Amino acid sequence: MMRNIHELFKYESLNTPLHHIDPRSKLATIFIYLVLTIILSDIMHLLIILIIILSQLAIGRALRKFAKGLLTLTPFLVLILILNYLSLGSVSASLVPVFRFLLFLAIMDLFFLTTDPDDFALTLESLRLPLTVSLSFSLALRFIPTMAEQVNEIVEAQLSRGLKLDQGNFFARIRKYVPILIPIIILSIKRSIEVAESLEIRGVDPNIKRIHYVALKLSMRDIVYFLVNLGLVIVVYLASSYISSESLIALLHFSKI
Amino acid sequence: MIVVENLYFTYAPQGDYVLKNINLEIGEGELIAIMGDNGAGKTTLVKHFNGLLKPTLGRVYVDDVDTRDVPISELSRKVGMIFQYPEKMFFSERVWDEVAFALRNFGYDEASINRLVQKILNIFWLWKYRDSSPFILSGGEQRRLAIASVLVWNPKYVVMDEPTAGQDAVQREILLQIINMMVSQGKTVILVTHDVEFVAEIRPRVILMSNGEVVYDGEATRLFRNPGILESAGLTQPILFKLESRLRDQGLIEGGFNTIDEAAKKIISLLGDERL
Ligand SMILES: Nc1ncnc2c1ncn2[C@@H]1O[C@H](COP(=O)(O)OP(=O)(O)OP(=O)(O)O)[C@@H](O)[C@H]1O
Ligand SMILES: [Mg+2]
Repeated sequence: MMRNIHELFKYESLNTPLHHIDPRSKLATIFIYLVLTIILSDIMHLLIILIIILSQLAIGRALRKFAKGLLTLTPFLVLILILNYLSLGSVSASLVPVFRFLLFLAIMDLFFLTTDPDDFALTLESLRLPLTVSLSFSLALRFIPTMAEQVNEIVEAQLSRGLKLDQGNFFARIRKYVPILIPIIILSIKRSIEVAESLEIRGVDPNIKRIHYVALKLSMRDIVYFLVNLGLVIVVYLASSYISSESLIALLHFSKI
Repeated sequence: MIVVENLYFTYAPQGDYVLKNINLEIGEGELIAIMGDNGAGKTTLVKHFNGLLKPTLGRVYVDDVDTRDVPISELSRKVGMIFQYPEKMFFSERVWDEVAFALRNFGYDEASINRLVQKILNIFWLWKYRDSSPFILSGGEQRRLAIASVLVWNPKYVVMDEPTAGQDAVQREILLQIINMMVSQGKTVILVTHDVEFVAEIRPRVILMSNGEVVYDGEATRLFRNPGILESAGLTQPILFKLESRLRDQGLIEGGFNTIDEAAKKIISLLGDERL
């Protein structure tokens, strides 16, 4: 499982409508969905949002990757479910946080799986964030695939030295990650020093105003994309106060009688 | 013996094959160099030998055991894998623990661990560093430590991915000695390398790969006399073989040279030196 965790976040340059949407429009879109996810707490409402997001992921040809990521995180989801069940004592109530988590993942994937890290950097700068912040963000994103490769290499090397990750009790298992975590930390520190040096060599200076070679431009399509989603969010929100799982169940009971 | 039968491999479920119809037999005590250009599939191939990767199609057998049927940890006891830049995997506070790590994983008792670690550190001139941090060693010493921490469990097959990468002339010489030592112990040694000069010095059996396929499998000498195949796989002739072919083209020699000394003698005699 550990061996393909990085696949979850890897951007792939595909030619789908979603990949062409301006990152600012996408950012605003995922923002309103996140807000909606937090406001609503009825399973059925969350399910509707999930369907909307999943269909967009399908358009962005990112559904498979999302599903794979989900598979990797299944133990985590089960853990959330169990912990909530223990504290809330009801299955349906404990499903809500699981669904929220799922939605959160799907929404994040909608942005990160379809947005080029370079465009993301430009977005952050266009939001007038300081260069140090936007650069750190986009570099971090940039390095996820490289880091992931490194993690994979280290895991493989330690497996070849007889490390068995899936044996022993809980604490024994945690300790087994030491031979993986330490090399990763060392590599990351080395890498960050290298990056800092290479930025300095190329004259990156946060105090100087920069001019971009590639500029982001909002097109009609980007605006429409956002407005359609805003419309969907509003409709779901308004409908949510009229229809809930309970009213639906009640309705079904009525129709039986 | 490692046997590879009709091996095909792809990383992505619907992706292109990175390895295509590979068939190989690697016998006991053989010295082998797997060569080829970047992305030819060399690393992908050797990762099948200790089960890190399993065939998409076809089979890989290590001593008659199908690699799909046993865990990596079991195959690794037989097939020691030394990756490119192996010093990246260090994590211990002391050199001693770094070497003992695999032995502990494989369940050796403390007495054997003490004996084996002491022995290997002495062979690799690292005994004096046993209590030091692996991270303070020089690049060459780190590479030696990485190799020692695999050879310590005495695997029958040893795979080294780019052992000469980033090493100076002295370290290359030491590596050469280590390889000779392993061969004399009867180990099967599989080197993955671009380094034609290094291969020209040891003259192993060469498996040449290009684009996921084996395009040559045979003597190094015969391969190095054939610049056509070499270039098709992104490699050039070693200096000695370039020299040889120039002299042959001029009709000055027949055949070729096995060593630099041989070449030097021949050239001196061509110059008509009486001392020879
Ligand atoms: N983990 C991976 N996931 C996906 N594709 C990979 C992975 N590792 C390697 N590849 C691809 O497989 C092909 C063969 O790679 P491999 O590393 O085996 O080549 P190589 O001969 O060892 O090259 P090099 O000389 O650069 O080390 C390349 O096209 C590479 O991009
Ligand atoms: Mg390689």
